[in-house]
Amino acid sequence: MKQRCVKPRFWVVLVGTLGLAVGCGKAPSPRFDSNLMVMDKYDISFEQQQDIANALAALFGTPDDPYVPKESGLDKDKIKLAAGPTKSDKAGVHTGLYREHCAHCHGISGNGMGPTAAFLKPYPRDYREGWFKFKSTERAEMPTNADLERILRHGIPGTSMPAFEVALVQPEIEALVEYVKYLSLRGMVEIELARQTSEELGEGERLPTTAEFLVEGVLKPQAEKWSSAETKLMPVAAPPADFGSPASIAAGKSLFYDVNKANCLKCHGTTALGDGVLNDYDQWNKDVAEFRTKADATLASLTEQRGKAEEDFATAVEALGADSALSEEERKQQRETLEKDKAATLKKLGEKERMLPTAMAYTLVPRYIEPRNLRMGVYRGGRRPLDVYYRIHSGINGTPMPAIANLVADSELPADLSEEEKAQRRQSLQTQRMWNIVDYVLSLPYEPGGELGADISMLGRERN
Amino acid sequence: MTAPPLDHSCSPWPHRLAVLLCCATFPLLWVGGLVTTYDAGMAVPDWPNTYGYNLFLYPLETWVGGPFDLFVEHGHRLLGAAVGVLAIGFCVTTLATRCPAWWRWAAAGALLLVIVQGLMGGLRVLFDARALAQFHGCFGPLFFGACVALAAVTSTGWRSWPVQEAKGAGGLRRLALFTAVLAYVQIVLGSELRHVRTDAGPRWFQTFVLFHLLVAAALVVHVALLSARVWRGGFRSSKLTRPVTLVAVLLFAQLCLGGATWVTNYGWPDWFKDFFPAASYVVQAKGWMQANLTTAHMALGSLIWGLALLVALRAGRLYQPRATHSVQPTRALGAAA
Repeated sequence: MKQRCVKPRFWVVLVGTLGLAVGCGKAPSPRFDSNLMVMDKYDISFEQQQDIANALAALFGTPDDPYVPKESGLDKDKIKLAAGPTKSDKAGVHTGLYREHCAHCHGISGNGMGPTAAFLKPYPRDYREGWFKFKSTERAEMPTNADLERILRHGIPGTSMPAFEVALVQPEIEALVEYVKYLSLRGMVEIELARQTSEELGEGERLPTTAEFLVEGVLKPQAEKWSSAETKLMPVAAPPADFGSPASIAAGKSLFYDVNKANCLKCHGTTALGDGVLNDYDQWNKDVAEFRTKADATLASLTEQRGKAEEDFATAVEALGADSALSEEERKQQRETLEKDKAATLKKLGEKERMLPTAMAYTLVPRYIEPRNLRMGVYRGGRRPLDVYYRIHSGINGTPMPAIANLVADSELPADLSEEEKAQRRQSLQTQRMWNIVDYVLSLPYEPGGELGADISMLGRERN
Repeated sequence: MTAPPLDHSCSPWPHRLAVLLCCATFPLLWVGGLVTTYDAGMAVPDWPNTYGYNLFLYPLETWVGGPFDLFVEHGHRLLGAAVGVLAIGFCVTTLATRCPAWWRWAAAGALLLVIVQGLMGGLRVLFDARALAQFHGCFGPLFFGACVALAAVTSTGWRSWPVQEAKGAGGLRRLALFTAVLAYVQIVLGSELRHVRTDAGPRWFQTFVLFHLLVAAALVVHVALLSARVWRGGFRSSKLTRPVTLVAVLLFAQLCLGGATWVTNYGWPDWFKDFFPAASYVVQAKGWMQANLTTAHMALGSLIWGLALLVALRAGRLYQPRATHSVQPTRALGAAA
């Protein structure tokens, strides 16, 4: 009888395939991306970019093995919990929290360029500039831990930012907050290094790598912005006694539609349906739009610029030849200098040609920001009166929503008061009026139909 | 003296075990989906042991009373082991009972598939290789399809059904096969969305979402055509109409689940945001709805693939194209030579 057996070749193929699968399956560790838009903005060469990347690696480590100098003010243990690949242990302690919960939208580098980013509206936040929208600190300041925690815990309604209240326990939320700060600080330091390279280093000078420069000169001032956030809280006076009354709402309404005071109708529209200015960008999209326009123009003119460099060189060499006052030695030296300059220009253009398409691929199509439809009763930064007060007081950082203007005209203050008393009265009135606007904004979803402040009738259909 | 009548029947046990294998594999796929949903793939860092214990001896109270990730991952391993034991049982049954020889080879093939699948799962853990987890996730439905095929071909009916010649049978077989292939391709595309690398760029994910939607549309068209062909094209056998109708119903449910999966993971698409429930909707990370709808979407995809494969197999078994009897035209008398 013929013996049938599986040939050894079969097992070799099987084991080989599995080995190959492991090889393919074991993807390289993720890396932090360079902020190419900033590199382009400050005209940073490849060599200088490498210097910056080295400095950042020394200061912050890698996504799998993060490092934080004590001067950063960040908690290393919390960051270790949030960083690295996703795992959990026997006790249910999760590590790699950022990759588990955040990186698919916000990206490994916190650049808002995770895999899902293109589908989300608004785009996920890019932490690297240090601009955060919903917080209790003054407009340009960093948010407090509590601000970030609140967003993580409750999410942002109407967006893809989830609420993690159910999924995460307090230490995990704290770890993620710390990691967001870490990514933001890293991004801010990167921008600062690029700025200093561009503005403070001389020709051919390399970025210093001393701890004094990197830690004391660059990291500390940026870290200070984060560590001082708790001291930069917006001043909040208690709401006036008539808060919630029809009189307060009416006062808020008149301020809301007054183009010389709050001027809210400019963006939120005369209907408050968010149909005012519809062609403005937030700061992130504005930067991308400007970068793309500039990059397109640069790429389109590269051949022309190369030709011009060659032409300038030829003209200069010709002029050099015609200059009878120069000795042969001087002529030779000047020609060498011209050749060096031309080579440097061509090298720079070559780097642009290589970098810009990659940098463009790292951006998403810019989108206009949509002013909030205030009649929906959905407030992304929180629905508490205090949250709305914060938005009115300091605006929304990184967006066209401005901090409130002066709501008190000089003529409204009694002339017989001293300057100090006037300032106090002005402050008190300003606060009261901001609360009036809060009152009106919170009443908008319930405002009966009919004529609005700007005498524009509102369709019931649009009220939702 | 006359010999007793020849018995050509096969033992019913291989078929019973094949059906049991299908029934055990589907929950295994579901739990495997939960492992991905909860990112629990690395909840147990060793393999084949569980935290140093033999897989089967891991203390029950630590498993059931432990963290959910550990519960899901260890449960997935136990279910996988059970399916492996069933596959061995199936193999042994085909060897021990009277059945066609090729069943034995098919059973050995199924056992090999489950061994490879188990090894892939183990290596995924040992090497912490996320892409390998994706291969593992795609291979599972392939094994499920093999189980469905085994259950189909080992049934009594499979051997007794008469083959019918029918016009358009070739088209039906091709359509059914292509539908099954599409269903599997859709699983592979979906797996890329589930296992996407966190450092992959948005374009990568965008491309796969686009293809996932395109294949979904193609699948809808193919299932509609297949249903129409079965119901109205002269192939109205209950052996086909039932699974085809079930595929159509499940596909509809799958489309709804797909939409729900998107909404519970990423919120409502922008064009819904002027409507109140969408405008105020907050995505609940790893909430009950998100986790279960996403996992159900994955599991239903495998069920559709299995059923589509069953339809394809049955269509091939029941109908064959009508033989064309070519008649040589007789040369007309008197025609010029």
